[in-house]
Amino acid sequence: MKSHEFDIIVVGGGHAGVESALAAARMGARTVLVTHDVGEIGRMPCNPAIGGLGKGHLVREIDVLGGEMGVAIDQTGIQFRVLNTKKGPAVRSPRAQADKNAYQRLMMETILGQDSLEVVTDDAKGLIVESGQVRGVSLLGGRILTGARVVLCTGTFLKGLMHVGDNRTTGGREGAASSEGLSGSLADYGFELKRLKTGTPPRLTRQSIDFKQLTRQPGDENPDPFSFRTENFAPDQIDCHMAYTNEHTHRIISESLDRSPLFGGMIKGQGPRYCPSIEDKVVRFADKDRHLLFLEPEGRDTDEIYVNGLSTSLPADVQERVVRSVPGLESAKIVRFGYAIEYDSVPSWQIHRSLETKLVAGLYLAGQVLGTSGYEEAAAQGLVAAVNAVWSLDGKRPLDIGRGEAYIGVLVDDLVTKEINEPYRMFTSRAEHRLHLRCDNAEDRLTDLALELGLLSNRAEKVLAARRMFVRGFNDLLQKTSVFAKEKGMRLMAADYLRFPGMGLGELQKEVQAPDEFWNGIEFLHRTLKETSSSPHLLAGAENQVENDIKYDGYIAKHNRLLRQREHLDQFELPDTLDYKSLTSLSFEAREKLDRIRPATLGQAGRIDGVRAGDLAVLTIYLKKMLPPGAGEPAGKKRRDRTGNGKS
Amino acid sequence: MENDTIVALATPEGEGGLAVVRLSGSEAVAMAGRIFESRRFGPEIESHRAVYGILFSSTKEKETSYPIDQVLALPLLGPNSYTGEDTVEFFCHGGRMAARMVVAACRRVGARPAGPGEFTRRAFLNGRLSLDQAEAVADLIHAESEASARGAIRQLLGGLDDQLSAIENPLLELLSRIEGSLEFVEEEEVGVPEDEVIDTLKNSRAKLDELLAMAPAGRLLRDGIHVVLAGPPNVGKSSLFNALLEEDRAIVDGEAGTTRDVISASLVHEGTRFVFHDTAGLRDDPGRVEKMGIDRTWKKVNEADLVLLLSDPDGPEPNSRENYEVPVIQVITKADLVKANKDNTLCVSSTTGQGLPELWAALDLAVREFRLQEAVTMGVVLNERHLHRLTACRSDLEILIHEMESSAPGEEVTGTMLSSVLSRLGEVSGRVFTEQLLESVFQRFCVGK
Ligand SMILES: Nc1nc2c(ncn2[C@@H]2O[C@H](COP(=O)(O)OP(=O)(O)O)[C@@H](O)[C@H]2O)c(=O)[nH]1
Ligand SMILES: [Mg+2]
Repeated sequence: MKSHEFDIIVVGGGHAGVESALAAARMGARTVLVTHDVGEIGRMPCNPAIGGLGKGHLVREIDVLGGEMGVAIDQTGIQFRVLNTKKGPAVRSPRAQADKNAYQRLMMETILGQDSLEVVTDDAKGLIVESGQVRGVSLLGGRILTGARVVLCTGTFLKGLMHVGDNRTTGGREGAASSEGLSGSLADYGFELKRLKTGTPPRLTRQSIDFKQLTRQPGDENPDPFSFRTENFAPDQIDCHMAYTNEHTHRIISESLDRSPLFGGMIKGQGPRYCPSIEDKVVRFADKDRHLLFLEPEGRDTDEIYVNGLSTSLPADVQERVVRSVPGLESAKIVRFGYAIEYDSVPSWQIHRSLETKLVAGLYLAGQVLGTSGYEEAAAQGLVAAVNAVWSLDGKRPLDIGRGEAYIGVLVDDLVTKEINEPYRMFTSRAEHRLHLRCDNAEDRLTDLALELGLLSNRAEKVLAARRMFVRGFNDLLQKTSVFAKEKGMRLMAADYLRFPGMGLGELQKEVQAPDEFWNGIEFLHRTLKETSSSPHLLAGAENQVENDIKYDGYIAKHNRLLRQREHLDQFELPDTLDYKSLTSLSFEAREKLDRIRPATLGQAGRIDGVRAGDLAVLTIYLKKMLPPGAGEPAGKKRRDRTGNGKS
Repeated sequence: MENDTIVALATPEGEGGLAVVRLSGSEAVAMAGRIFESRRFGPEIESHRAVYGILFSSTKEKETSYPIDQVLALPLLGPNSYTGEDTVEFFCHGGRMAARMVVAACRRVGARPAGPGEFTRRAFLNGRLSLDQAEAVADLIHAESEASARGAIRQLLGGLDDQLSAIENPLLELLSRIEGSLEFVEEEEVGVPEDEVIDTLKNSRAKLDELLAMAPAGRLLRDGIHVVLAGPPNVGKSSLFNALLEEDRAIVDGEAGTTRDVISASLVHEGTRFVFHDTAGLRDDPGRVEKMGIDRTWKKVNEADLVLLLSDPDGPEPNSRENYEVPVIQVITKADLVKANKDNTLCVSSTTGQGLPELWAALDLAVREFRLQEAVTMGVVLNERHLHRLTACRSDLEILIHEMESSAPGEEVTGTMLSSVLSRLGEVSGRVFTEQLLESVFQRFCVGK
């Protein structure tokens, strides 16, 4: 009786599209991935790296939920480092350099080998919408794909415009055509579009660089994998190098600013402030006499070196002089010039937290098209969109990942409550529950949800369950066992021993006298975990969590007290039909924003810039007064009760 | 909404400078046209565009009419005006005298002088104000005295916002440095020394304390200063009560124990509202009915802001068996009956009025302790909601300072806790700081993986 060929149509084979197509297919939906070039699936058009601060957290979470990114980078990474090791564990984050081509190849093979997933090589031309419900996608080649749900993951392809100096070409990135039609199609259906900008640096050939003049930056000696599923992890690592610009470089740039499309006013889109172009940096940080550059290999077998920190849209001849002014790069050869790209995005207030658009039912958006930047942010959204799209086929309520549960929750919540004016990047400072949202406990935080999604293999699910048992059991032992610390000459609880600065499980093992049951208990926990996974990293990670849980628990408890009040607001659902404009006691700004964004809960409303506690008070009073008894009361967590409760 | 047209000086009382006269209501533009002469102020005026011209003392055509001042007229057509109605604002450079004449001119062409808070009340009724501002308006409407009205007006102008910014900004700057050092690892060492963190936190706590110290002032401005007259029967409480209020409100009687209940009355003195309470006497062997009155007296004494403790010139020393929790001013009554006044004690006669100015001076001095004036100047009239949230911020800050001093947590902990203090402050100030924070971080740091 189904009138459509597919359950889910995913448009775009970038990092959002890949996760989206794989998740949908793995959940059993008949899925099709539309990409203009199969060889481009999973491509890294900018930095050949996965992870980094805040982003590494996202990859760890995607991995636990059954996404592909972590597994793929573990297999194709050429350098692994944990960043921020000097700071506390909550803000440490893994990052890896990828062998870009290998990563792409692996993703392509994974996609092509996935059951229930078809790949169509063509360009999406337009959406097919009937009475507010998406019905399919029309392709440039003339074919029409009919589907129940469409997930658009078109990245920077909507009306993409690339700038190198005053040389402008249309395209979604270097060497790829842009999608003009889709952008128009979205505008036709009433979507507001917004121009954004991003940029990329030049690539150099490896042989043309004098590495002797540069500082080596090797990978970690004992690298950690991203995925809890990776068992045999012994990557062969390659060095990165550090170089510095100098005053001469800055002079070249200053003198050429009139030829920069950025400063000449040709670029209208807003670029990311956290990843400024080199011309931006020279202007904004005029007092700095040098800027750090990282030379990052794009792969094992390729000759290309990515110059992290030198993003630019200056004309080709200036780029050449800029590069050559850097010691070590005097005779560097540029294989690809840096460019800035402008593209249309769909400001994210136009989506629900399910990532479904408010205007067109059944249409989901994920990734850069929503105004975010970064492969990791895109992948997370791709996964969320696919799960929600598939669940909605059975009328299940969408995922509801809280800000206190995962960075993915922070990301989605920010998307639906924040006015995004520049490409959105994850930062740990965006997460008020940062002390709890750590890389070391990603498995533990998301085990329940992972089991509910069912994207993982049976074996991986068992590993998660075993790891959780290990962590709980270990914590229990530590909290309940009184030990004697030889060096300190005192008797205390094992957990309290770990609370001393610098004391870990290693020290505990050496320094304390404890009853045999304690050591036997630990021994038993180790043995059981090893039975499900041979990965030494899994064990080390779990132990790490046990330590950090204890070291942070006091702070987390105190901090939770500070947060509790606001949490409560997240339980109050706001009816979608609320006529904010008629609530004249709300501030003017709040009325406008609430009317436009239409938050799902009082908590979300409070996170909208310009909505004050006073406005929340008005809403609460209104809800209590105007709505029938029962409505507007705390809705409670609905996760366990999702079926049949959603829209039909 | 059908509204008559009202006029008043819109700028708060103050020294010289620019004065603004606001004319608001359905007839505002027409009335302005009658007294304002300018080529560009005709039937097709443009909203939000100021025009220069001459303002006349009454309808231009009248023979008795004469030019008052050269002014700037700013038409603000409803609903895009402060009140939400058609409004014309006149900017008078000629100072307050000229401004008063402009108000008079408007009245001559039919405008009614606006009541206290009337513009704001209209703005609120037309949905042009936020709750915070509306709260200030509510205070304004209830405000009976000048000092209180000025405080309320200031809050509308953002007095509280300024105070909160002064607390928030250093914390935000601190947080941006902490977060910067967490998010941009490859940069040179950019951590913030611990003492500096603690100093900044303590500084903000002190500022918050100062702000919280304004809280009683807010209540006093709204509700008035409650002064209880206490002392033994027949000491002259009721007489003094009447003398202070300059009217015969309480019953004065030579027989002890006449005043059994509490009688209250209020008046505004030098811009501050006082509420006086005349009580039953405080003596140790009262009758039953009188006893109830005495109980009420003690209750009142404990709720008061000030107590006037009265004693007879040759009676026993004033009753000191109770410790008063509120400030006490000792007063010796019936000063006309004794020749020599005791030093350093206020001696007052309700009969002759002798010593009354000194008593008022003492009251004003005591009131100064409540820092009403500062609250007015700072523009901070805190309401219960503000007080509740700010007290919560205070205790959050306290927790953080305690953590910093006792356990030296990592920067990720400090940053996280500090950010929740800031977001709680944001609940009062309305600022969502995350974006501001990132902005501030980006201004300081660049490059990062
Ligand atoms: N000569 C003189 N008599 C006073 C003065 N104040 C009060 N009295 C008298 O003292 C008596 C008691 O006064 P009253 O005010 O009723 O005292 P209360 O019981 O403290 O309220 C009355 O007869 C008053 O006329 C004063 O200042 N001078
Ligand atoms: Mg009396």
